Amino acid sequence: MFTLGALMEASLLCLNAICVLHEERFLARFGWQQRRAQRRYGPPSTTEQVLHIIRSIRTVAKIPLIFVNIITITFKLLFG
Amino acid sequence: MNYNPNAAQGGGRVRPIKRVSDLNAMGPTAPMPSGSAFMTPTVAPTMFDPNMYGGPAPQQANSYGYNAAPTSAASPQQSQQQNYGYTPGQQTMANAPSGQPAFGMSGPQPPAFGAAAGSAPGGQYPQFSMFQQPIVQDMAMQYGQRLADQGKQLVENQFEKWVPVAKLKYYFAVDNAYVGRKLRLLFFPYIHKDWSLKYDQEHPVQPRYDINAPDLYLPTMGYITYVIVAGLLLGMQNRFSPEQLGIQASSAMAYSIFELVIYSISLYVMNVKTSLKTLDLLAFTGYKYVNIVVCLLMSTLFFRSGYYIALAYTSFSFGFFLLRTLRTKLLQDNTPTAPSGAINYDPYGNPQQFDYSGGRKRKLYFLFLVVAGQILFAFLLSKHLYLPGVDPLATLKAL
Repeated sequence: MFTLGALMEASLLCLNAICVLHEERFLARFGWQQRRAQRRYGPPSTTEQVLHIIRSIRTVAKIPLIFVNIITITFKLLFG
Repeated sequence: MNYNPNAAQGGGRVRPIKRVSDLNAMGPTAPMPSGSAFMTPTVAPTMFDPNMYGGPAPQQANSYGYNAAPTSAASPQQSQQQNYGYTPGQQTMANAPSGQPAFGMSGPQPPAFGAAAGSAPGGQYPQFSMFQQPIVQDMAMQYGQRLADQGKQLVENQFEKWVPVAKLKYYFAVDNAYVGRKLRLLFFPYIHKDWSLKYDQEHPVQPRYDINAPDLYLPTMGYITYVIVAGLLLGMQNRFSPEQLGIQASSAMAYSIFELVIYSISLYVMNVKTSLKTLDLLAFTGYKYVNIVVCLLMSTLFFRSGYYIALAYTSFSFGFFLLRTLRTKLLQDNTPTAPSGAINYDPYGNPQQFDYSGGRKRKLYFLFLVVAGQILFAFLLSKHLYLPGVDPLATLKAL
């Protein structure tokens, strides 16, 4: 059953997965690193948007995720 | 605020009207109800009525609800006493010479004070005697009023910060005729001609004047009805338990949030510039609950075949409706509304930020994503609920 709790858990895992992606070690292999220098004029492409959203999530959610992860792991260990 | 220093006429001392400062302290944000909340409902129909207690009105110096009781007339005094719930102890105070006013207390007077004054008419509690001086009362009242106003404003500001009340009010501005027309439009969208949104200068007009505007009333009611109908159908299949209602509600809410997040992210990633707000998306995706409810109710009459036929029909007509509505909103969008919210955020500050044209292909992709998502989620939300048929064993057990 896909309930609110499951949704929260899933979003927590997804956020963790996004934060784990490493820019130089992982994303650069696919040519997904940030290229600000040779940016041409025009609307940003889909890839750039994806990169941007990954970077934003990593910036915003990194520190809160640490605490949320600790709390979740503790609760899962104790009750689940 | 009803405190009246001019009440004691015997003194012949006319004090300057202090009401102005009181009203200023109240400010425009705190109209009369804040004061009248302290009154018992039987007290005063209108506080500004000078004839409220049947006194000789016109010569009164103020019109702030309390009609200054002449010291000679016993009956208005009596009525005032009843109305304000005074104890006899207060009566002695009201009749005190010259300086003591008979204040009408409807402002935020501390109730403990009234009780104490009532129970102790004399100087039994001398520490309260300073509260009986008018200037102290005035100050205390102003201070209390200001405190209350500050608190109220703080609460309102915080509430406004987290919940966009003004925006939400737009989505709930519906009436009966609109709901009827919208339901008809949802199920028979084929003959509708004009799909464009009406604009009142810069803002879209409220849903009650424009059938094409998105509202949140139907989604909310549809959601609640969906939960109830789910309980009904589970009960018909002998699967009902009270916590099932909560589970269904939570599940539907989770699906809604999930698809809203998906649409928002895809709008951002595909870099679709649109005037479509998140609440609009919530409204459009919420209409599917109406379809689901209809499908589930059909399954109570015609079982599995009825459910699938109803699902096919409502999916088709709802897809038609969504395509037409969102197409006018997405593709032919030259609205003057300024973009707001995360969807329209342009990280690179392009000069064409306010131009919603362009990216027609991506917009079409997004459109089909939304329509397909609606049909998929409508199926997912109802597939475990519909009545598959009459189970002979279950009916035997029920008998």
